[in-house]
Amino acid sequence: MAVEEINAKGGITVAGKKYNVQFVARDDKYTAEGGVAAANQLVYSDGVKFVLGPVSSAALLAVQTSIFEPNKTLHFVTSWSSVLGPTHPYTFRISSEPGLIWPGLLEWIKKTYPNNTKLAPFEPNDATGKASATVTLASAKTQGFTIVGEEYYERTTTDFYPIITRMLDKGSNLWTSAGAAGEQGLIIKQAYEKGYNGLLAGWGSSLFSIRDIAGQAATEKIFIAFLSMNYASPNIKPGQTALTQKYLAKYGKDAEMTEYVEHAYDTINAIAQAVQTAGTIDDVAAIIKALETIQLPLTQGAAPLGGQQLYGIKRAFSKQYGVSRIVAGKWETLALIGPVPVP
Amino acid sequence: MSPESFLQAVVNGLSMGMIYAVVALGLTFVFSLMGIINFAHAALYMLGAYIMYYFFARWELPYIVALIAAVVITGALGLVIERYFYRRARSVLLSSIIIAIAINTVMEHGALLGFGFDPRKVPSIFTGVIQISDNTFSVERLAIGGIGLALVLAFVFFVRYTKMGRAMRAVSQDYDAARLTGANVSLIYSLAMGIGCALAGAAGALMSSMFSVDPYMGVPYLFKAFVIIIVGGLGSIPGSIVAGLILGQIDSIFITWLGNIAQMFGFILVILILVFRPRGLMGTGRA
Repeated sequence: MAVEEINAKGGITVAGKKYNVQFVARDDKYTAEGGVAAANQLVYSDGVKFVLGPVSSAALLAVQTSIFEPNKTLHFVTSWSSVLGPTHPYTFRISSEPGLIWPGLLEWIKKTYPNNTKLAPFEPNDATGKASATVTLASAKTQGFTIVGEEYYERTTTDFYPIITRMLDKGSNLWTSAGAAGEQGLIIKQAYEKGYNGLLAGWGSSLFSIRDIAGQAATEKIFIAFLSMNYASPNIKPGQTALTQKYLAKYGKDAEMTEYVEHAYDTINAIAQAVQTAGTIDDVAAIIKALETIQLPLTQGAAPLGGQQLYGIKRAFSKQYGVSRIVAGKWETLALIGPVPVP
Repeated sequence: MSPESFLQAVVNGLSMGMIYAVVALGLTFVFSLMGIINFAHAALYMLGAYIMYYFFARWELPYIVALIAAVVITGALGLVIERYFYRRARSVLLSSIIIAIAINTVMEHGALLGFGFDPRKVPSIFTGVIQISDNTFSVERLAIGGIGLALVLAFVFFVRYTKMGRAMRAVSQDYDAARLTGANVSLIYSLAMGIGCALAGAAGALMSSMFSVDPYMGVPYLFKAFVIIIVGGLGSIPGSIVAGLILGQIDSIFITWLGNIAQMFGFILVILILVFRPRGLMGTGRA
């Protein structure tokens, strides 16, 4: 949609010449192997200059230094903080800042659910899960939560009963997780069956998918969804409402408007504006400099790149994220969390 | 681990072990008769789950109808696979393995194209929990474990006490002698494949409501099944049942006790069995 809009306006103007934007999609299969195959195709066969993704940390780690950096390919990702820094100048983070997700979320939980203080990460045992647990534990300690344990599971796990039993034995009443929707749905369903009375704060961009697996009663009782935006909520920004209307008009009223749509839309527009400002499509350093200096045209509102304080380099889009729950069958976005700009 | 947790882990292990056994039985049955390692078992397990999803969750047919449909359709597909693929490569183990892997891959990717990647949920007809003192038991798990047990018993009855079952055992024990006595080996192979695949489909259909349904859901259970048939003894039906229950307990008790790291104990058991008792707990050594 962003590409079509740019091209409909005549494309990107660079040094007085118009260029159309071409969009190429490759599937990384959410695996490291798939990421390598997709990145090889994009960089060496398709000749792309900017990559949106890969989404998974495992895929990014497999291609970041081996394919993207040697080719100076700017890549815009949603992975955890460790992928950013002065040694990775071509990596940009386009979604909410993960180093700030847990501090903000835990602060909100502490105010909203003051009895849920016995915390335990319940994470997949891969780079995403470990990174999530590290940030969670660091935030929880500074905010006075009692850490009663941490548990990790294989991504292929379907029977969570044994691990849930361990969590219940430890007396935890606040679980945190960055697991996938399918995993979280099963955890919630099985925790509910085992009588868990606490909360699970988890990544919930596909909140209804999670509910469909876990069941409505279990989801309403247990689940707090972060990175979860209901774009029909009154709590979102006007720009988000406008984007939602455009998106649904184009793809049909049943299309699912998610944060990824917003991130992708913003990224394309930010790149286009940076290229125009830089006045070049080939000089990567100039395009980076433009990205670092302009106000990025983001849906939530124009904002500069952030992250200097956190990473030692400005590479983070400044986005707030939603915290949602299902209440009486409805997806309610209860709050937007996160500082703008990212420090 | 508290005594309550231990008891819950044992009951959960029994339930899961029974389903593991159903999956492994189909695999070991086909191997014992035909010498084929049916890697497509994972895809048939997945197909059974999708059949349950469409028949029961989407089209709202009765649960038992959906379960029978899963058994019949996966069984029929097994007949087709045997007739048109495995029969042609029966005498060459490597060819049959490659064909099996190819069928599995095609079916999984076909499911991805046809059904999409999003996990699907099948509502359970067995809801609620049974609370005994501080112990909580899921009615669904108990019921599905019970159905799994019924399937295992029905299968054992078929193999031991029916004419066709005895003919199958005869082919399994001595192919040439069975042929000389007039056994229709081609028919027996087809039926064995159909039954093996139907067991995979039944297990997938049963598990669909406990977990979720996606194109790659069968792969972890295929690995479990391989562990079971190696531990139980290649081709041994009683061995698969016993090993399924053992693996169910190992997974449940040790993970509850030690956490996810205990996943390795099933494989440690395989190594020990292969080193110290290569024919498995109840295998004949013939395989």
